[in-house]
Amino acid sequence: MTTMLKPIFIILCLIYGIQLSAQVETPFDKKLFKEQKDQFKEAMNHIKEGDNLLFDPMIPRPRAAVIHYLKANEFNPNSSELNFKIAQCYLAFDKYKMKPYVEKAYKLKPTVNPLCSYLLAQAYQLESEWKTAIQYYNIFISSANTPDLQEHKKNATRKIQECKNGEMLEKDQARVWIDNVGPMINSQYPDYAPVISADEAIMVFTARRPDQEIMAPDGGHFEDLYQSIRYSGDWQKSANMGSPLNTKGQHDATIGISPDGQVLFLYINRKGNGGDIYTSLKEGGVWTKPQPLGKNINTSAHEPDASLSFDGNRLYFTSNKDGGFGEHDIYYSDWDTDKERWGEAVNIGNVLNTPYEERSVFIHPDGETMYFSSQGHNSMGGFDIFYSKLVNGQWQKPVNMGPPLNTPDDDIQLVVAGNGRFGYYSSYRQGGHGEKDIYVVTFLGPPKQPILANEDNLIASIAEPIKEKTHEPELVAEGANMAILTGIIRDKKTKQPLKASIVLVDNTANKVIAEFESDDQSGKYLVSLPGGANYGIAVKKDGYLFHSENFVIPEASGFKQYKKDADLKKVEVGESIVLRNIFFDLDKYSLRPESVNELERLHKLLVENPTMRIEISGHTDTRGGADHNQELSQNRAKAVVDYLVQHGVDKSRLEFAGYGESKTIISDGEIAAMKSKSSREEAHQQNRRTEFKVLSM
Amino acid sequence: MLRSLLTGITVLFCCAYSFTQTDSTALQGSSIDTEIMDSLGLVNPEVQKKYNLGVNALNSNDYMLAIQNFTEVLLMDELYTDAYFNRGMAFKGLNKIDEGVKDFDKVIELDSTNDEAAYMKAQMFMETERFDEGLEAYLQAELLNPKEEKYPYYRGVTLFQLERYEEAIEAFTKAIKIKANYAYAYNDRGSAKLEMDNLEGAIQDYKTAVKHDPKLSFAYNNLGSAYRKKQDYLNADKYYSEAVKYKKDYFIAYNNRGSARMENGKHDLALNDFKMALELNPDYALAYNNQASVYILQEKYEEAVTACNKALQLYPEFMEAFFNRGIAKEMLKDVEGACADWQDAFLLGSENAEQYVNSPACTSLK
Repeated sequence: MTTMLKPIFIILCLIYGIQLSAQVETPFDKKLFKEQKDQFKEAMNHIKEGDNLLFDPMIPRPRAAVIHYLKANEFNPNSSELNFKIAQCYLAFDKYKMKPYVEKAYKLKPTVNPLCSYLLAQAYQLESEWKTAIQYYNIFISSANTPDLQEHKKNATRKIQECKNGEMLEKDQARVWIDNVGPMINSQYPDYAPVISADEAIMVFTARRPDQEIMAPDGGHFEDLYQSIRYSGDWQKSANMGSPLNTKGQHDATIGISPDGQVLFLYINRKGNGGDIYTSLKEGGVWTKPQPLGKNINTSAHEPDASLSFDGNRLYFTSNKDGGFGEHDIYYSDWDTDKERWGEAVNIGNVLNTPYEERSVFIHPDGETMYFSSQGHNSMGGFDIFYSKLVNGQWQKPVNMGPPLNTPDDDIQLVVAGNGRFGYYSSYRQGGHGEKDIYVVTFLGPPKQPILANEDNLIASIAEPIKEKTHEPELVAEGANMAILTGIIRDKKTKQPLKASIVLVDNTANKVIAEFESDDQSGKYLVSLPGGANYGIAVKKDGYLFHSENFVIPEASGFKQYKKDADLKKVEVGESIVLRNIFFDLDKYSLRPESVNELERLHKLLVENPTMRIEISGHTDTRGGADHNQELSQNRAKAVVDYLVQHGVDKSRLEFAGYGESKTIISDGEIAAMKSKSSREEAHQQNRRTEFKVLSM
Repeated sequence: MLRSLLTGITVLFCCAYSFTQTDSTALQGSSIDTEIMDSLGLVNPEVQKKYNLGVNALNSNDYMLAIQNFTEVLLMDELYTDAYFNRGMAFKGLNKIDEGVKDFDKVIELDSTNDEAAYMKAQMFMETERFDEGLEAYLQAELLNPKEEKYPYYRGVTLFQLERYEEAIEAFTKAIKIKANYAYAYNDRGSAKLEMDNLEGAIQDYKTAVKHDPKLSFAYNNLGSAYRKKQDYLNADKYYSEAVKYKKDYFIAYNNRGSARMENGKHDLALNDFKMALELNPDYALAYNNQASVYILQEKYEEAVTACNKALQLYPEFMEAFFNRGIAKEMLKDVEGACADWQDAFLLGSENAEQYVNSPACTSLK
């Protein structure tokens, strides 16, 4: 540098130095960087490379582009155009990082891009700065006059409404805890889309981990399915589910699992038909090769979500096929038992579906609560999670689950355990294990009101007053109104697990609701029982006596989980079983109509074993007089025999006896020691029973 | 509840006893100036001497000696009413109820106007929790002396504590008929009405009580509580404040006013009242529990746990404190601790705690 030029350089440096610190727009103009040619050139190369990646007509690659832009920005941080491009990149994959860049771009030159104020408004919306966001959306609307901006203008109007929704929703925060589910499941890679069995024993999720050498076109790893088992309340280390669920060089993603964990739904996009729903069954302890669902479900459009009802008879899914209310809509299809396929898809209607996106449908095992994500309704930004209740066969207006579960960003794929206490979803939050993680949501229910203790109603003669009787507020049962019945079915003698058929009957309606099978390897089964019905459950297997259970799940009874292992007895002389689904009117011996299914099972057993002779015995609890109980039990046993005779069973094959209260299963002493009234009542119920015993074959 | 009931009954007995001490004599006949009686030729000097020895023994709580002397008196003079009465008192001192009752019955047989013997019987029955017999004895006293307002009143108090409120109201009404300005009876009838959810009737009675006795602090306290139940927090505050005006150390009223203020959303004022109640009575477990309730609403869960701990130190079977500590622990994510507390509250009788114990929050624990 010549002596003559030195003062000029110093002046320029001062000028630009002042400009830089004052954050004055400094475009990438080589005239302004004459003294830093090499650095300028390098920065320009980075911008060029970034542009190539960001504006690649085949696959825009913002993750890669932003690395170049950031390098250029280190050289000159005061280019509105570059700052805007960085913000654009972050908008695509890490929205929360875009705000400082778009803020700076707007500050340096508000007109750098017609969408600058729009993007800035979005950045404020993401941080729940609702009023400022509305202000910038309005600025955008007032300046967006060209035809190419009309769609954005329309969106901005909608986003203003989202901000207003957000303001409202924030006033009433949902009572939830959101906790990272931990390193046994989450990794430093994206882990998301969890699905769980109703009892939270199994979680299957999607992750993009380096289990495959080949990289996906977007620069990340391919999606694979992973599984974790919960043992003693703790999730065990997750593992890749391998073939045939996961395939090399392909994305494999989970979207749903049946409440009993025996049927898995996957999203696969291999045939270029927009992406379809596949299903895999657990057979012999292994998952079968995923098969596409029929044409009534999968179309040439996009079907990315699926959820199976508790009885396995209805599939809820989403599709963006023509004829809906907007973009993706929620549909359902009923299983056609005659044709053994899913029936015609039915749009669930415009109470749930909007002109915008509805996705991630999840039907709770209670059969009456649907969770889904929507960009419509009163979303506070992007997808919000909503729930709707089925009342008298009609889905009710969806309720936004509110912050902190919902954020101004996309909130999707919530699944809720049968007990209603825990939900799982994925989110990209600070403090996670890396990228998207799976979080457990604990629903705390309505606030628990503390109880005051007072002394009032004092009477004059008493030096020390009586403490006020506690008036506890009436509580609404917490959790879902349903029960989950789980257990293991085994051979009574060998204790070998059995694959048996489990028939679920609505006793009140005398209707078989569903038929399941226990796992052939483990003998495990799971049945969801929604509230408001009297259920009969029969476990059947050829060559064995059937086993029956009865559950009454009242409306608004909260959640209960039962574990009932059933050891099936082979059809042999001397074996007996309790007929739990035979009912009599109170203190009478007339059979109630809901006994028919159980009686028919018994009838069928006798028809299948034509030489079998049996004894029907009646038993009561110990309340009431012994003589009366004996007589009642005798008459009840006779009523069962009469039914069988009327239905063609030879009288000579049937004996009956009434044992009254002489053969209780649970003694009075044991009942007296029980702490709660409900336990004592259940014990009495166990004692009141009808049994049958094989006398000869 | 049983504990409170028993405490109440015991205290009632103490108060009733104190009433006897002040309004009549515990001993009947007292010792006799033998010289005067002898000169009049009215009593046998030997009888008199033994009687006086019995009275002295009774006064010095030597019940066995008293019984021995009165028995000797009665062997000599089987119609000596006072000797029966005082031997009955000695049996009472030894807690020999049946023997005592027998003597008091003999007194009534000999003197059909002796209402005090019936009253003493009532006391003995109450002391041994023979409530029905005690109530009968009170009724007997009322029959023997229909002008004594205290017999129906005490019967009313007993009925109140037995939670037989309707009958208690009748008994208090009877006492009021005998003594129209009987402030205590008005107050207690008000409390019985309140127990029967007759808020307006209760308020009217409490107001009549303070009209007849304008410094009756507990009646003001009760008025405050009645208005609190009506969710009329302005009047509740007013009457609790009257209560503490007439009884400066009335920690119960401070605690109650705090509750009213808390229910009215005035959490800081409520905390001040609970603090005041604890300054006046540092062992007042209820105020610690109520402090915890405010802390829970203020989301100060650690403070709430500390306050409940103090309440439970003072009263280890404090159902409400277990219940509230469970709420605070849950919010501190100590769900296991919360469920253990709700289990304790459930075992102490809380129905809501039972529901929580059976909720997925607790049943889903490992």
